[in-house]
Amino acid sequence: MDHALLDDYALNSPLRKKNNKLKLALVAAALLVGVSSTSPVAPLFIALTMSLAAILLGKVPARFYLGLAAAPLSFALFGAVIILFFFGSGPEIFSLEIFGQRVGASAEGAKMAVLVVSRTVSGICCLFFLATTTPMVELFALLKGLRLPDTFVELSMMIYRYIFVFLDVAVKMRHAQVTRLGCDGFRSSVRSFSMMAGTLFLRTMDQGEKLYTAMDARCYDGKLSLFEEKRPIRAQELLAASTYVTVIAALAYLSRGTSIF
Amino acid sequence: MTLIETKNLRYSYPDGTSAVQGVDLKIERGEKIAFVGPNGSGKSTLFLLLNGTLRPAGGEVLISGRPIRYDSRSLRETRKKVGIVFQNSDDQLFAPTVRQDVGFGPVNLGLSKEEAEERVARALEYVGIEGLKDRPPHHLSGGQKKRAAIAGVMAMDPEVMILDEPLSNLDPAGSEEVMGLLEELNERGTTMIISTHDVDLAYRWSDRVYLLADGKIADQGRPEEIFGQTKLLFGSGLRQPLIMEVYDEISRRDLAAPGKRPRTLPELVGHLTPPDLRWMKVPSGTKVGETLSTEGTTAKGSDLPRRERVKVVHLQEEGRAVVETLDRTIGIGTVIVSDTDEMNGEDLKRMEEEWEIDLVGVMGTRSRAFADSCGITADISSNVIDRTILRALCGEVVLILTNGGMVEHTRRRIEDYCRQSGMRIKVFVLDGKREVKAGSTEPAYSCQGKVA
Amino acid sequence: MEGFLPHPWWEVWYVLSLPVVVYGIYRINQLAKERRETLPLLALAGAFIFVLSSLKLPSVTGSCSHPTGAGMGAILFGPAITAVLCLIVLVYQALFLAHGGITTLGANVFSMGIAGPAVAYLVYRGCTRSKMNFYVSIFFAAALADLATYLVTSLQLALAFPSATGGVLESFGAFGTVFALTQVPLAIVEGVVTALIFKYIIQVKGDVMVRLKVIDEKRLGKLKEMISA
Repeated sequence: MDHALLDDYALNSPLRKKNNKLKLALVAAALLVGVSSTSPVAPLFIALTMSLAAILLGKVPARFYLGLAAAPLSFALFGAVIILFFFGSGPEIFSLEIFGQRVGASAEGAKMAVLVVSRTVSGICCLFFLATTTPMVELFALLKGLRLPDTFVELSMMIYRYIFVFLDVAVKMRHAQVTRLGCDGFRSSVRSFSMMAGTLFLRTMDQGEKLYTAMDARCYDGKLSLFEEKRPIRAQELLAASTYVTVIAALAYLSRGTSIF
Repeated sequence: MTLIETKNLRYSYPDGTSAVQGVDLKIERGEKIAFVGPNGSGKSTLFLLLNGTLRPAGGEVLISGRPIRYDSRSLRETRKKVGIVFQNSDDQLFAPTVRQDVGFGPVNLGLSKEEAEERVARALEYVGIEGLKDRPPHHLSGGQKKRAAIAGVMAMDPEVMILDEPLSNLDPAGSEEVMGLLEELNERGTTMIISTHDVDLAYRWSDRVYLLADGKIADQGRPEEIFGQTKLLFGSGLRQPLIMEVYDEISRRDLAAPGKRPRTLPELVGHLTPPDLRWMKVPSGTKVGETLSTEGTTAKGSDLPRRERVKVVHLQEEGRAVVETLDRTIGIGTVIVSDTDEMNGEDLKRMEEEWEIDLVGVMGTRSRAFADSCGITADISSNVIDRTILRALCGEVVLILTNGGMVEHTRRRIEDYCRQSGMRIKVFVLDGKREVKAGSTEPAYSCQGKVA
Repeated sequence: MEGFLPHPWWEVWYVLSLPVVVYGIYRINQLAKERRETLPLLALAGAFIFVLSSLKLPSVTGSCSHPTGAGMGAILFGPAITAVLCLIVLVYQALFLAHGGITTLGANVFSMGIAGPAVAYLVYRGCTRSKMNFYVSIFFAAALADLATYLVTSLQLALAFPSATGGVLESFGAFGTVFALTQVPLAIVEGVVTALIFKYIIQVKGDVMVRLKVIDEKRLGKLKEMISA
């Protein structure tokens, strides 16, 4: 259950040292363009380029990447199917019989479904690029720089740190339970799960007290500090990023309204 | 100067159970104190009372002679002076990266950004995890986490550092690293207090021991005194240190020379008397009562000269006799203590040519870095002084690479040992004050070469 | 799912969620001023919610579902603070687990971080006032929270993709029915699990509940009696 794998990838990513504002801006721009596009062309382009960037530049293993994309993709396809059959008017392209009911898919529906899937894929790839190249620890400085409230950023930082502590604890508890056959059958699973969650919660509270004592021992006065790393932007990176954004924006604009159907 | 003092300190948990019942203690500057007691004896609670986190129900805590005041400003002062490293590093390391966590203390003390950064850099370098500064704590091993926690407290420059069970959850390598670090810190002038139920650790490391049981101080004093009281120890759920146990056993069998109880392995070895009677091959024609002087080599077959005077007690068949050892000397070993801060790679090469060095020991993070940069692998990297003494007793030549105050500390330890045990080890201290002349038999370094 | 919601909807939900989150941060600041240990405590609660939501709930159908933890959070800390915690947790879910997304953050915060907890809180308080059995009220609070979340999500999708024939309503019906397959069992299981968690906590270290002002001392005493009886 090695969950925060993405962050671990980011910590070891070859792109980690690149300027974070640039990466964030790039991803944000690509997300926006993808989501706002009215045709599948631009989003699919973004999806392709972002995934290639992650795999080739970010050295993320291709198989892992695809596996990661599987879950959100399936959600998207699921939703898309619904849209296919319920959205849009116009002539029917094809229809299906489900439980004696006839459901038809219109051209508009198909168009929308394809668009939605393409937008989702583009979004997912942008997200993955960010997640696998920028570790959370770098983003905190960024968040403070964006003038988000201090409390918010401090909370985020501590939550980040303790997620790993608790994941460890939860996994160990889980193993201990499984060893004692706590997960045989639905009822016992529910009971075991609840006990584990309850214990985890109590540990949480305990840990809170201990953490507070330790912070107090180092003169905690309610504020946290941040040492920021200066990561310079190289001109060519800035150029490359701006070019990319311009390209995808142009693509989205030019292809607006076009579709497969 | 008394840094910490408590008078009749009392504290109870919220649910009423008494945790600390009338504790009087005194900690002097520069001391290494170990609080020893079984689990639940109140050690952790006591520490929280010493830094003002808990308020006593009775009695008082005095820091540098003044009682703790519990307003926030005074508490800050107290916590600046008295730092605590908690048992579980995960309770202490809460920031996303090591660097940020270590910087937490200095920033809270109100230091400027530059000063805080400098303190952090120094602390990280000192504990030897400079390369891990951008890592999140969950990417660190147990020993690294502990060192990061220590760095975080170190960066606040406390006068007293308290460590609650510093070696819990550490593997042997990690434990050695941390203990070495604590030794260095003490050399630098920080008063160290640890709590542990590892009696062997407390026995060999501390200057003074406080025995804690049921929230009371059962006894306090030098380690040899405290750990000699077996009844008290067992009553408190502890046991005797291994070295002491071994010494007591061999004493009982008359195999030990009398003297002060040994605290370290070399001291223990020094107490062993050689066997008095044994079989030996003797040249033909030897008569009973004759004294022979034998020249041989040590059991391992190395070329160390070994001389013995024996008296023939009984003759067996041709060539064998029972002899009694009158005295024996093994070739004296040599220890060269060298300050790496005053050395470079060239000096090292010259030293290797001049002396026939058998082993190299390295002590201290800076010296370790120096050794790495010269491509030297240490033969002795932990418990260096004790192990060096042991090897020197077998006649070997050992070079110790260390730095700073530890150079003097090493020399002193070896001299103390020689004085107490009557063994002879040659010690040379090189702190690079003068140039070496190639080919000379005596190193032309500073005049601190002494024959102990 | 990143990118699923189109313009202008994903912005709309951001705008709607923002005031609640801002208020939550304000509340946290207030609490932190009174008691400095608030921040570390809430941080750990947030970590707890994240870890809880990354575990697989046992299910009858064998499908993979995760608890939200939002209902529990609301009962313990109130809906506004839970919104803030959920926001952070959702961001981490997106960046660490690839669940959810950044454009959909506004919508998810609204459904999972605001609507759900609000329902949980109201239901819990209402049930308490009507003297319903403690654990039953927890069950309802958590289960209805999940149902509310799922219904709001279906509404969000329906608004974004109204059906040509029946408009938003028909879309809502479609999305709602399809999701019901997984979400309704999830809601029930999470309701049961949450109630059991609370039972466990009361049994082992009930004073935590009193400290967090979830229940008062008297109630704790009665509940403990109930368990040992």
